[in-house]
Amino acid sequence: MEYYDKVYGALLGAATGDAMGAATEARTPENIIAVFGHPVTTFEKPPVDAIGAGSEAGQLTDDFSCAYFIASHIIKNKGIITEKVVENAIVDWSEHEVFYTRFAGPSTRRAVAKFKGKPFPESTDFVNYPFWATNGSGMRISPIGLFNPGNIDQAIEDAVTVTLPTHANHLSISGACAVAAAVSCALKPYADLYDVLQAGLYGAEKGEILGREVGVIVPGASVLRRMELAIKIGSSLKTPEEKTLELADRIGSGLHIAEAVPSAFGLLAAHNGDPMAAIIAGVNMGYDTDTVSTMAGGIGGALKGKTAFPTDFGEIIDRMNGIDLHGLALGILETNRLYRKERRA
Amino acid sequence: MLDKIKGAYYGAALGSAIGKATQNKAWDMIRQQYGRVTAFLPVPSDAPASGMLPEQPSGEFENGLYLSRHLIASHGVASEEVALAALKEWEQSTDCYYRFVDPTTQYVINGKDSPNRLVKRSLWKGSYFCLSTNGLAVKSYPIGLLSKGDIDQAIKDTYALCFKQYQDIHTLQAGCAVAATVSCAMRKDVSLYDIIRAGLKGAKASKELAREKGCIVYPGPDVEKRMEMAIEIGMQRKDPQQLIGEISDMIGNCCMAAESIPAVFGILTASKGDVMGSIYNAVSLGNASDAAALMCGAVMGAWKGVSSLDHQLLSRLQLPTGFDLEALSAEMLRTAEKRRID
Repeated sequence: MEYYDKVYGALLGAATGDAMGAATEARTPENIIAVFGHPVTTFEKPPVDAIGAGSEAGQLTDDFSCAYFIASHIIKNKGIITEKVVENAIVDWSEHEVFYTRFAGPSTRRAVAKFKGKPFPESTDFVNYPFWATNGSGMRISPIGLFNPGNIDQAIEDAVTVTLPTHANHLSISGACAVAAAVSCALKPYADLYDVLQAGLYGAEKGEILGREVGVIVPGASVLRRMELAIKIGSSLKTPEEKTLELADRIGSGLHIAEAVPSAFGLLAAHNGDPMAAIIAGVNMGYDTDTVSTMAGGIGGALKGKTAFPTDFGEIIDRMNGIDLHGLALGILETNRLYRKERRA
Repeated sequence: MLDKIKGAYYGAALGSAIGKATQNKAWDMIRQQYGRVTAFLPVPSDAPASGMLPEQPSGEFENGLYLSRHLIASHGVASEEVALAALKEWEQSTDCYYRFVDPTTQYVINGKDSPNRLVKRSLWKGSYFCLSTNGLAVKSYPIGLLSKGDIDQAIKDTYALCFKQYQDIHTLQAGCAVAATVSCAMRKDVSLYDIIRAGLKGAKASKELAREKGCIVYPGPDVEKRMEMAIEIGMQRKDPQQLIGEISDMIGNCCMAAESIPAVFGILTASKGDVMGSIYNAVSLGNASDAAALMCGAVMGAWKGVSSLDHQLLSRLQLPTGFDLEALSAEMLRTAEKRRID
């Protein structure tokens, strides 16, 4: 498979997961069926009570849009990945009326206020550490794997850098490193699902160790341990539907990093690495569907390439969001060739 | 029976007081900093209970006491009015209630005048931050005390009290699991196995009831399945300290219903019937440790009575002003004995 196909596939997979999940976010699986009358298998317009209400079918939320801005800024900065580059990208993204204002999560909003030197109204007068470990770190991280094709350790190191400005806690860092490592591994020419899952576990473990050194140690369930269970559930001999339900009930697919990231890996295991099947399952499993599907789509897309998706999806994403996925993929390839070659495996 | 009722109140008070010092900390940091916590500790400055004395139970403990008083005043009849009156009194009783109130209960208090409050809002992001928490479960043990061992009645009463307020399945499952398990613990000659099974029954039966009544279902992991996972961990033949880490890593123990209540059942199972051990282990979990230790203390105290609690620690407890647990326990007993169930 062409290297371009994998990079473009990862971008398209993450964008597809985000845009499809926009319609079902914050619902239960039963409610999704009740509202849509069928499982959601393509882009749908978010209903009037959705967080994404007002968006059209195919429009992104905060998840992939933030990743898009970060990747674009890294290209503009000739492949340099620093906290400052990420900060500028996120500030730039935060000026976008749709992507940021309507969708951004709590940790990201707090960080953006800090970058802009603005006060952020806290809901408590004590530090609420348990609420820090959110999944915003994972939703935007897949391009970091793309800038480090096959170089898993460098992907992990860069994922820590990208995560620190907004989610400086050991659990969010662990989750981000899991996704970045998996995407990085998936870009190897002969990578298979087993390799990718193993890279994800390695990323979670190493990310947790690094996160404890550079971030705040917060209370919460372990990303790594929940990933192990999610992959076990995903690899069982039950039907994909049964496994998806088990993941929703036992792992969860919510805002906590130790729910969303493990479930994304569990879905990939349950659907043999097929990104469209994993996205459709993630979109219909309920809760934070757009984030889970963004991550599963990004990893699976890097593994299986652009042919894993319907042929018109890329054009729809570009047109509905005013972006250029093909141009971004070329920019990543060019940046890697010119500036990051020495870091390639 | 009086010994059991006192055991529940004092057990809850001890758990809440010891647990508030480790609240919002990670379990491995607690172990590193304190070792095994078996005493009242000074409260760190960044903890929600900062400024409180080490021997004081956290604000959540008072929530159950106000509910008990109002249940006594209503002759044991559980109703939504009773629950709301208790909640209002708790809210107004202390200037630091907001530090201990869980997001679900805060939502109930803020929005209780608006019957259509949920319909008017966009969908919430999910239960982790907002709606399905342990707020009902931390105050539902007095309902179990009044039931005199009738588990079905405890589940029904939890519903009568809180169905309209909390409305969502996960929160009600959590509340019913604790009420049912305390109810079972009030019986004579029950085993830890019976008590844990009663909790599972409470979670399962309340889910069915909630679905029948058209309860709201917020997205999130399943309380009953997470309880089964936690119990499975608790049953492992490992050192309790290892099991604490396992429960924290796999189940978690934030204020979310599908973490906090399963974690309690995991700790109850892992502690093998040791009353103070279960409280100390819940404290060592960190995160929402005060709530977990409060619930473990209530269940185990109800099972084995006040004499099973550490008397030195009990003698140092600084109970909330205006509450006499001896008198409250006696009144609860009288109310339970005189209570007529239609």
